[in-house]
Amino acid sequence: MSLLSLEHVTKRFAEGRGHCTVLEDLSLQIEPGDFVGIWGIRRSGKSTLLRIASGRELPDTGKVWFDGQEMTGMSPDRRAALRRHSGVGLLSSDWRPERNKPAVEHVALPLLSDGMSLHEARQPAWKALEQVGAARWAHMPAGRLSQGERTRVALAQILVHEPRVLLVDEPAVLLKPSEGVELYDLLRSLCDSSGIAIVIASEDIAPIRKARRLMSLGGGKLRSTDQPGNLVPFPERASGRLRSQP
Amino acid sequence: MPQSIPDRRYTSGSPLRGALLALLVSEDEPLSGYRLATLVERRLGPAWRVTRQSVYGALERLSEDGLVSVTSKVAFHGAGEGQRVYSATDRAHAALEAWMESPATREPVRVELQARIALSRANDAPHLLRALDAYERDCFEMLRKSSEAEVQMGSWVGLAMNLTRLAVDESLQADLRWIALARRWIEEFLTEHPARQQR
Repeated sequence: MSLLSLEHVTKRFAEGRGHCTVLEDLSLQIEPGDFVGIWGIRRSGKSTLLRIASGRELPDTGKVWFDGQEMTGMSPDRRAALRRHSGVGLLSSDWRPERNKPAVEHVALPLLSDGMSLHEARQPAWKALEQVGAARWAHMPAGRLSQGERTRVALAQILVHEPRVLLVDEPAVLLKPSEGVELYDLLRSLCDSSGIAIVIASEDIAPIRKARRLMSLGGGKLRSTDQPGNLVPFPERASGRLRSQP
Repeated sequence: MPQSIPDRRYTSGSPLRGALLALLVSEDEPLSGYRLATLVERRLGPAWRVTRQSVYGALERLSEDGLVSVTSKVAFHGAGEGQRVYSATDRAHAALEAWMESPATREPVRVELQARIALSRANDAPHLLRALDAYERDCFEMLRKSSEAEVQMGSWVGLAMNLTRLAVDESLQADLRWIALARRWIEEFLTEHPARQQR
């Protein structure tokens, strides 16, 4: 059984007088240590797919399984608990930190809801910040961090829960090219060193170029590029005809 | 021919001829066709899909134009025919300079699939959708190949190779967007005109 599995997932949104099908009968399996890149243009459903895979949103039909448990059948509280404990983390580009709060507190505070004291939470928070190369600015107020540094703190805030699957939504959007390259290398090394499965969805090919499995999302469907498909059966005839045209 | 007068004849040549000339001018020793093919493939990147045959063809033409000289390397123990090796002639420097400074123009779009779509009928739509899938896989395969070579910045060669890869990336990004939009437009047309598929 796969670590994370989407089975025949369909999701529709109301649009005007009708509806728009964002994901249609879509299935996806993520294995431990996977590194998957999903490419798609804007409004192709990438964020919806990741939100459903993370348990933040429910599909209209279909099921989502994580580690043998059906997430779609759980209460919102149980899904949230699953995200906190060795589950599925979602890194979005829209993370907005409190400007005056130091980076280390952003990473430590979510652990308090698990019953830890602030003193106890600081140790795993430091470890997570070190893991993403952000320990240097741990005490700096988040408002003084660059976008690249904020993204690393946001990543540490997820890694502190030791997720087994990390979903990354549009990492290239707010970053400078050099910050982007560093982040993609960091994600790749996290995948290689810790065995965490990583899924990156992006409309830019740069973040997904090192992915071991590449897919594209469009028209509600996910196309895997590692599966041989049906070529049009008459390319030579067609090209021959075209060449003979004036 | 004096070095200061560029050989304009050369500028009508293919980029592969220019690339081979540049490699031979920058290398001090004669190179075999095999070695040149390996080097040119590395420098231009996988997107060029350089074949050994095209390299030998370009070397032949460069030799006919007097820009490259061909010699036989002495084989071991003097036995058998020596390996053919190529080196740049004196005229090659001016020809290379002419290539570097020749005006760059936009290449015509000649993707075969675009021609197929341009001349298609509505009932070709299912074939075109499958062809778009195949073209998309080809683009991703190219992305994978161009990602395999790690290029370090800091040297001119590194910068030049990174710029070449960037050109491929930007072109792949544009192609993937075009594929996604073409697929969406065709599917929307088929939804709005279901009868057209049957004709």
